[in-house]
Amino acid sequence: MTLLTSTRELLDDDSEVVNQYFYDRGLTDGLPVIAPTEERVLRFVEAIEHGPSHSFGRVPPLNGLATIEKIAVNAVMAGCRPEYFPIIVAALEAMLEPEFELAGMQPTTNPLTPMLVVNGPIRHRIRLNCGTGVMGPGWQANATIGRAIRLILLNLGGASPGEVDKCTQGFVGKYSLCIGENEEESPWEPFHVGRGFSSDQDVVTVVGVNASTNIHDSSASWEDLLKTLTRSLISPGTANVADSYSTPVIVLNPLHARILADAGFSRERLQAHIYEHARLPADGLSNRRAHLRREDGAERFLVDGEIPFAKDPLSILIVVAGGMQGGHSCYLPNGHYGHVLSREVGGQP
Amino acid sequence: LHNATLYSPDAAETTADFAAHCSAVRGSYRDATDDSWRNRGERVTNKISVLMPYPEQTHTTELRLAPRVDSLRGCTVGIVNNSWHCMNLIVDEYRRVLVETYGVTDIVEKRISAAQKLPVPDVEEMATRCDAAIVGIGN
Repeated sequence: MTLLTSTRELLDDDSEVVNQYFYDRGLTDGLPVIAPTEERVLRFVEAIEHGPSHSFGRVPPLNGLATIEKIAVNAVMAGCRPEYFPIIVAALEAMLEPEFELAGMQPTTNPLTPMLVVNGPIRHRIRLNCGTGVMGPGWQANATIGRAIRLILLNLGGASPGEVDKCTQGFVGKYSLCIGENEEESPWEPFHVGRGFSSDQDVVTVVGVNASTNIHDSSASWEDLLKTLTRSLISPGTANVADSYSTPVIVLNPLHARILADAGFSRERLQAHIYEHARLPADGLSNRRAHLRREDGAERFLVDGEIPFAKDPLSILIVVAGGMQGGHSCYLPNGHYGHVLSREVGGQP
Repeated sequence: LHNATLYSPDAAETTADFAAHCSAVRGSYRDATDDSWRNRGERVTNKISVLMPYPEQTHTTELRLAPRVDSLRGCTVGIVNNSWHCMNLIVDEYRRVLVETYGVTDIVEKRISAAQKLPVPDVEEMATRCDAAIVGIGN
C-alpha cells in the first residue's frame, strides 16, 4: 500500500519518452525533467516532518492544493535533491500568504517572477552558490530550487504561458531564480538578520522581481560607486517607478559593499542614501504612466515634486551576493503589489 | 549500448570515421517506432510508473456559487472596474447593453486601481445592493 495518491501513468523507462510525455501535456517549462517515480518522490517527502497529504494552501489561479506530495513531484521533476526540499516548501508557504499576491503575479503581463534569497548555514550544506556567478548557470541547488517553484506555479497554479500567464515577453528568470547571500564576504549583518531572524537560522525570502539590470563600476571610490548606483536605478520604464508600492532588490557584489561599508555606510544608511538620491522628476513619466501612478494613489509618495526609487528607504532591499572581482552589481525592479516575505526553513508553519 | 564502440576523437579524425561511429551508436538504440525487438529477445524497455504533478481536484470544483438570476430585467448589477485602460472603455459598453438589451434598472460601479483588491466594505455593499456582479479586468 502506498502513501501517495497522485494519478499514475505507466511509461517506457526511457528518458526521451518520459520527457515527451510531460512536455506534450504542458507539464514542463520546456526543459527535460526527471521522472517522478514513487521512490524518488518518497525520498523528498521523508526530508521534512509533514506527511504527504499535508497542505500549505492552494496555488492560484487554478487553486490546486499544494500538498507535500505534489510539491515533491514537481521538485523531483525539476532535478532537485531531497535536501533542497525544505527550502522549496518554506518558500511556497510564504508565497501562498495573501500578502504575497501570487494571484496577481501569475497572469500578469509584467515580466514578474518570484526570486528566492537564501540565508543561513543551509547554503553550505546544499552547496547553494552565493559567490561568483550567483545568478548564472552551473549550480544544481540554485538552478533546480528556482525551477521547482516555476513548475509548481505551472502545474498547481495553472500558469501556462500564453494561456493563463499573459507575460508580454517574460524573461529567463522565470525558469529559475534562487540565490544565496554571500554572508561570509559581506561587511554587513546577513540580510535575514535585518528581517528579524538570528544568524544561525536558515531562512528563505521571496520577492517578486523583473529582470536584473547590470550596474558596472570598478572604481575604488565610494563617491563614484554611489554616483553610478543611484543614477542607474531610476528610469521611467521600470516598474517600481510607476508602481510605488513595490520593493526593488539591489544585489551588491561583496567588493562594492565593502567599499561602501568602509566609507561608513551601513545597510540602513545606504537605503536612506538611495532613497534621497535616486529620483525621477515627476514630469519624466509619460502621461499614461503618470495616470497609473495617480490611480494607485502613489502621488503621496512624491518628495519635493520628484518620484523616489521606492516609497520609503526600508522598501529598498539590499542583498550582498556574487564574487569580489569585476565590479558588477545589479538591481531587479519590481512591479508587484505583493510584500516581500521571509520564512524559516524547516520552521513550524 | 551493447555493441557500440566508444567514440574517441583521436581515433575518429575523419568525417567518415565520425559518421560510422554515429551510425553504430544509433544502431544500439531501439527505434521508438520499431517494436520488432519484442520478438527478437533483445533488450526490453522496462516500464516505470510516474506520478502526475497536477492537482486531481481544484478549488473551483468546491466553490459554492451564488444563486443565479433567471433574468436581469429589473435587477441591479454591480461592476468592479479595475481601472485599466481597456476596462474603462468596456465599462461604458457594459452599461449600455445591460440597460438597453437586458432591462437592468440600476448599475453600481466600484473602481479599484490596477491589481488592488476591492475593499471588504465595498464587497459587502455590492452583496447587499446588487442582484448580480461583473468583475472586470481589462488589460
